[in-house]
Amino acid sequence: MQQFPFLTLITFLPILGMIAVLALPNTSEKLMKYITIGVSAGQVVLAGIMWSLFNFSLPGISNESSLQFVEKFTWINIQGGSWIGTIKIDYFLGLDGLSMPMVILSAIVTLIAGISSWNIDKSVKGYFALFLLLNTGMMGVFVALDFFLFYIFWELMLLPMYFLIGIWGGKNREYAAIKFFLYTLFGSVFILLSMIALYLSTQEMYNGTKVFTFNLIAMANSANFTQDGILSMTNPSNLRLFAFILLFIGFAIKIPMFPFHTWLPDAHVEAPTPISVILAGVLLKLGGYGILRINYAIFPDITKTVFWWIALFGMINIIYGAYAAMAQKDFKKLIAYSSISHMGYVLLGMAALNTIGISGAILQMFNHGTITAMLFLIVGVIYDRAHTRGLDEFGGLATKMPIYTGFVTVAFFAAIGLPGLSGFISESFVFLGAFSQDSIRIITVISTLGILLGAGYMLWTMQRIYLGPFNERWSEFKDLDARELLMLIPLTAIIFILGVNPSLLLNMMNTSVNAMVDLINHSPMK
Amino acid sequence: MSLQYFFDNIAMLRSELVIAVVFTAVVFVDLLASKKTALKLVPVISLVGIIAAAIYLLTGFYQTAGLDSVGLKDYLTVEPLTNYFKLLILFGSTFIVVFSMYSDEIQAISERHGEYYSLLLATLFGMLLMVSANDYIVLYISIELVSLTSYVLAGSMKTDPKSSEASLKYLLYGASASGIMLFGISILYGLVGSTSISDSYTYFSDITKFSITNFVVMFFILVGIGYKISSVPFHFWTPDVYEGSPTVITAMLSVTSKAAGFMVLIRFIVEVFRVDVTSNGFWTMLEQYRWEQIFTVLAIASMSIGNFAALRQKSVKRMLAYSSIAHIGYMLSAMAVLSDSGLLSILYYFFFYYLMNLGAFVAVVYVVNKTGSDSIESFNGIGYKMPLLGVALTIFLVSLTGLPPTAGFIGKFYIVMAMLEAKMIPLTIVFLLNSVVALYYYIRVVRHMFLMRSDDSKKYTLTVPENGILLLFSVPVVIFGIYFTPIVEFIKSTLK
Amino acid sequence: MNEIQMLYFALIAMFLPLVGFVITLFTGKKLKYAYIFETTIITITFILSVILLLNKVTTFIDYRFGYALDVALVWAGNWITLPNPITGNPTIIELGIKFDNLAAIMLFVVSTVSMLVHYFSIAYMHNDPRFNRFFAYLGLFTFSMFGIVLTHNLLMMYMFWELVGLSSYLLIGFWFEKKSASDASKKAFIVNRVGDLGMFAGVMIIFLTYGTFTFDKVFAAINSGVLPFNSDFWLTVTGLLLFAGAIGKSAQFPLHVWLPDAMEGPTPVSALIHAATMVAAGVYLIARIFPMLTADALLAIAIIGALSSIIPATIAITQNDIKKVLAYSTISQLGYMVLALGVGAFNYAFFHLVTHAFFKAGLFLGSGSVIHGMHHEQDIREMGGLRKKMPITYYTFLFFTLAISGVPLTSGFLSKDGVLAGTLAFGMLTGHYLFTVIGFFVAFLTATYMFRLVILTFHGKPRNLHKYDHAHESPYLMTIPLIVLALLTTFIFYTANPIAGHSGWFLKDWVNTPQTVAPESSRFDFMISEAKTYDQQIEAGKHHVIHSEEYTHTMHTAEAISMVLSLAIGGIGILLAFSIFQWKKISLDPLPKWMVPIHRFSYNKWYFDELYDVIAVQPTLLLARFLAWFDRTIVDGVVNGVATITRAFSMVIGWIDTNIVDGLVNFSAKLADWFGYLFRKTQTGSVQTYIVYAIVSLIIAFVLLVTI
Repeated sequence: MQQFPFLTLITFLPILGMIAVLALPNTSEKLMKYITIGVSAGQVVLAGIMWSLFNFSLPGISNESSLQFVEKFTWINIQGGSWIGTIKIDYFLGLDGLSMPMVILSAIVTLIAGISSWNIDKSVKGYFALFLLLNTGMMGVFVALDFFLFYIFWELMLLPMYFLIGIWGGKNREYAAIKFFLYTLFGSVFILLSMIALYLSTQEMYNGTKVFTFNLIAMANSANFTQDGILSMTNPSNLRLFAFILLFIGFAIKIPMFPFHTWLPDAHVEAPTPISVILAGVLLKLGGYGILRINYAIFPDITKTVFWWIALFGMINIIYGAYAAMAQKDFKKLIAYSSISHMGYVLLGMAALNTIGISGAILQMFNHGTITAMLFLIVGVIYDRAHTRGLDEFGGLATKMPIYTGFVTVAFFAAIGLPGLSGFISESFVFLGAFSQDSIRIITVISTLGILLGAGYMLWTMQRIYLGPFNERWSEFKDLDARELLMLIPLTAIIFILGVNPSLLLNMMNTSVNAMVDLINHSPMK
Repeated sequence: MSLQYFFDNIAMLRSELVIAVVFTAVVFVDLLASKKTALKLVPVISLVGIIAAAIYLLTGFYQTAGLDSVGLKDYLTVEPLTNYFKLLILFGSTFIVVFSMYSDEIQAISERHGEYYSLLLATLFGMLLMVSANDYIVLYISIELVSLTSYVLAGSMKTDPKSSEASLKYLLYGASASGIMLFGISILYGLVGSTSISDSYTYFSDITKFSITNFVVMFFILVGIGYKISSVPFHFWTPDVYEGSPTVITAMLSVTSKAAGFMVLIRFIVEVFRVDVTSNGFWTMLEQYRWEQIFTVLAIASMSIGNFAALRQKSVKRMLAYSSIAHIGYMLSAMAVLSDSGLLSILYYFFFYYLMNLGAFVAVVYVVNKTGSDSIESFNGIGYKMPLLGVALTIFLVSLTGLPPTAGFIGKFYIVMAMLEAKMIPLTIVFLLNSVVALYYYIRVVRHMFLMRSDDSKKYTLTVPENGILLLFSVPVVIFGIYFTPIVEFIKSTLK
Repeated sequence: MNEIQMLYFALIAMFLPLVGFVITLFTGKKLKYAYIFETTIITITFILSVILLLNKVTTFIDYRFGYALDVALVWAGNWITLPNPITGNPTIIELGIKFDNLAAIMLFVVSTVSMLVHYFSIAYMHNDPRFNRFFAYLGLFTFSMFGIVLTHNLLMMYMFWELVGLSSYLLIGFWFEKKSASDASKKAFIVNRVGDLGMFAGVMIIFLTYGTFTFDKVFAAINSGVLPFNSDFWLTVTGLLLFAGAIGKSAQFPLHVWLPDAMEGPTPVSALIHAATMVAAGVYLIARIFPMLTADALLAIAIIGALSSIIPATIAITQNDIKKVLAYSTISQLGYMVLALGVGAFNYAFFHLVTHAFFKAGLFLGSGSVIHGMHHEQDIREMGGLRKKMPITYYTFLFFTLAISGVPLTSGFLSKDGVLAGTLAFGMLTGHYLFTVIGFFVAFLTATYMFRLVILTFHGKPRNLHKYDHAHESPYLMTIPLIVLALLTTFIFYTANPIAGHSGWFLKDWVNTPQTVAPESSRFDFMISEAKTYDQQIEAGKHHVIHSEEYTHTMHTAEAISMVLSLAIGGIGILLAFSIFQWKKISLDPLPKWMVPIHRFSYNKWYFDELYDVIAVQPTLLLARFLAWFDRTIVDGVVNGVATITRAFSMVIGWIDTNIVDGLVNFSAKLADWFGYLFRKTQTGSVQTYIVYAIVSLIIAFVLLVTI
């Protein structure tokens, strides 16, 4: 069935935008900005259309025929006399309940970040070209279902990110940029290793013969593993576990999971506001998405044996991130550490291995994306005005900037997990799910401490910056302008809507999550 | 051997012949034509000649019959695989000539242009011969031909003491290495009674003759080859020579002569030690010679030392020199697999390596032209002064690191695939971690180009052909990173 | 009204304040009179609640069993449905309201107090720059509180629980420019979160065990023998975990420390939230989960309640801030309610909740009136003699004080008496008489400190003449609410007989004690009626039962005893207050030596804040600082260390490269140079010398060849 190539369009629209931006003369900066925002808005519209066409009852995950918006063409097909040198790579895009929420999130956050980039004035052309390239990379990872393609998109993000932090970042930007780059590359070489090992172990039918495949969906079907492949199901050695761990480390660095998290505070603090928004809003989600799409679906047997460790690391993330956040003096760093803490919930939810837990984890990814994006915008608002972010340098901003403080309150309380706001549902689901899993119950109970600590550092921050006597040093401050409102209002709306009606997303992912849980439950136990 | 046979079959060595003719032509033009004419004519003749040789080579690319019927077979092998390497070398040499035309360093020695280009051609001739050599004597002579001319080329900037030093060092090392190799060959001759490479298989395969001598011979010959491809621990000459030589010659040494050396290595291993090829492409080797272990050690040492040493270099040329050692290490790890897919991945890697390394060198040539220095500081802000160069060099460096979507990734991808197919997981991990280390120093150049600003506000502009050359390399690097079917299919066809 | 209409009206009543909140919040800045809108909304809600209450208690009551049985109206829908086609076991999360008498009464209480506070605030807050926002927040609070009151499931309870926490946070910190106010709001939220953690854990256990949050479904499942982790012990734990939420919200020991600080909020807020409604939510929660509480859980609850009633009472007696005294008194009274629930006197606990809501709101509003009249003076040492200046305030305040002290004709007398009787009956049935003793002792303390407050504030001579001269009676907008509350504090609203609460309609017809569903092995048997089984109740769709015969008899006896006792003890307390502070018969100035440490201990609130600072706050901050340091230095240090090692390694290689390797090269170059030098020496340029060299060489070669 040949249908409208939604996914190609949504993925490569930014590339078109990038070409347009590069073709423009250096002077037409305004136009570049409009193009970037236009492209992102186009993506949001496309995502919206796809949402309306999305069939909630098709699972995907390990069933290729139930994927949606599939575009599959042979991209590289090199045949050998014997099999040596044979390689087949598909241009394979598709959506299921796992990726659809992420595509929507990515489109929205990128649009917000695009608007937030409005006051970039240094090397505008380069910035927007790289921004758009990054955009393609992110979108591509979420829609690619061929591992090779996935990996290309995955790596495609690194260089633009390096430049965006390294050129437009703060004082210590070079250190942060290279740290980000090296750290992520360190992780992704492991992904590469496992990817090729998986390729050499799985085959699918193509034109009547069995050929090795990068097809992620085919890999998720244990019947497609060869008998003697390096990662075959019957392989008695621990290679499958080893590959799982390598992949997990690769994705855990993106999440970022303790102890692989230290790139994040640096990257966040140094990155310009829009890039922080993208980092927190989308990039961290790639890790979680990767774990679900690849680790969970392809190694359900291993998942079943190691989930306790995932939960443990989730707990460490939650508690450790919260404590570390509490001691920060820099607003942005605090938010960065809170991100670590909040991403711990994602790990914990995943480790539950049940519908409610994994749904909670995906929902938490989405919610963290919107909430933290908002928090970074909030930091950006005062940084734009004061050019400092010290938590102790402000005070009483609520007097001077009531509207701003209103948004801050919403964002902070969403981060704390206040009911009625989106963060609550996902955190509750994560806890309810994880609590139902016998062996990680204690871990879950300890993790709930994160709720308390979260309230602690968030409210303390609230008090130090917004409450208390007004610091006259900032008497020049103006309340939010129209552009800032334009960014904050949609995010606030999402936070409220998902807080009241989480089914919007839950229904979308439910069938897929069930399929995933089923896959894990029915995989042979080692 | 009748002359008739000779002329019937000499066509098999078509490219060598063309180069020989061009070489003579250049010498004569340089001698006879006026200085001014010669200056213009010599590079053009060389260029046209090399391209002609390449085209001529392509016309009979897959033609293998004929050589067997003459005695040449014992001395030279002509097959698609050697033709592929010849093509690579001709391709590389074409651009070495082109770069020479654009290099200020080379332009500065215009009074010796005839000498320079003729030596280039002589080196090229030697390399083509090396690739085909199936006899230890031919091999030795061709290696010496390449080496001797290279010594002179490395020292072609006579006025620069560094260049002279490079030349001297190269000579000293080259002399000792080839001396050792010759020693090995002579012992082997004494043992086998033949100088044919293929013949030594029978000797080595006989387990009863197993002795420490075999290993000494094996090792001595390996020293010669290792020196040519500058694998650790025979790499010592590389950094200084690379740094002291004119950038163009550095490019030549790190690209073309390595390809020739590697072909020799392949031939040595395949002809002397390979017993058979299994149905899934793995090689069965003579048992007592643990080549996979030797290559593993050599590969790990080359990659790691190359990369670690490159980390701290201030000179970009020197950095590229060390990195080329690392790249040899990558290819050696594919060699360690001892399989058809390993060999294929080396062939792929060489092609991509040519593209990205030559591209990187030409970019460095331009920067040296403009700033007069190859120190990393001279790259500050280059990305803003010459955006196209900045972007192109970034692409080359990213490709050298091995990140998608560039050709370098595909090269590494195939090597990793070959290694994993043989389940050599620890080596693969070392290999991949080395890429991470490599990123650090490659990206350092990018950092200087884009993240730092230069103190002066000089404007640099590149001419259209100069930019064209950059695009000629950078565009394929990206395109082959995304769509590599044709090139891979072509290379695969050379291996039957 | 029929059932559907009732539920619709309840929903409308619930959401109206939210509408008020949203509109007032967004228009407050532009429209000066937005507060009128909000106040109107709350008035409508009040009217609705009255209609609903009257309908409920008249129409939806079942008399089939010979006594008035509460009929619960339930409206529920699925909020989140996650079908699971594979296991066929969908996850369903319901939202719904349960409108029984408890809810109807609470709805009425909350809307009444809220409305009165709205009116009061119009006058009290009139100078505030964020006047309208204050009303918006009140609306948000009222909505959240209605949510707690009306919900039929635990999850929604938890959600609104948190929302109430938010509105409390916003209102305590309303004057956020004051550091103390923002500190207090933060403290309130975080301390509450500690309790909420426990509550959430309880909710998780419930969901894990029963797959639902709905109270009735959970109770039914427990009754049929399904227990968390199949053990009585875990049922107890679950109950206590849920109770932890109540400890936080109702400011019970040991989480009571936030409430006195919460007095930093505007006084109407203290009246509404921190006296009458929100803090009672904890009690309401216990009432809601009452059937599932085991004997052990109830005992633990009773202990917490007893401690919470006595500790603050001993503190209140030395405090000088008018609001602080009332705050501690509130904790103490909430402790009473919790104690009453713990000892099984369910209906009296709830009764006390209602009466306390009115008279404590009155006390707070009265104190607000005083503060307003005294131009924001809260220290009672600066007051005195205000009786003449503020007669309405005084007389209502006095009336409320009589109520809290348990003087007949007031509602407080009826409810407090019941609570005390409950403890006494419990003591008689189980031997735990300590609760009784504490209960009566607290009654004594209450009477004493409350009258101390009244006397110091209103009686005697003014101690600060300047302030006294400027004091004035509050406007009618403030005094009318006081009068209304005073009216609501008279007995007549609850019973016709001023000395027998249990015979009145409130206790007899409106509030039924639900029967426990805890398994036989872990419940107080006296809480089970012999006559009717739970199954029969369930069949009829209700589960409220009168206690066992034994309990009814004991309670009857206890009521008679406790009425006499409490009257006596209250009287002594009042007398003591008068003799010390009014008539100065007993001089406490200077304090007797033996009392000084006690006084200091009490005055410093038993050093709870200091204790928590040392055992909780400082360690947390220290750990945070340590972990941040650990992160930067150790974890990141490892990362940077790898980088450093890599660089160091490269440095070593670089050094070898430049020194050893290159040194070797240079050495050989030098050697070559030296040979060159040597040979250059020999290169004299004369041919003869060359020949000599050649010949000599030949000879040497020859000799060598021959000899070897």
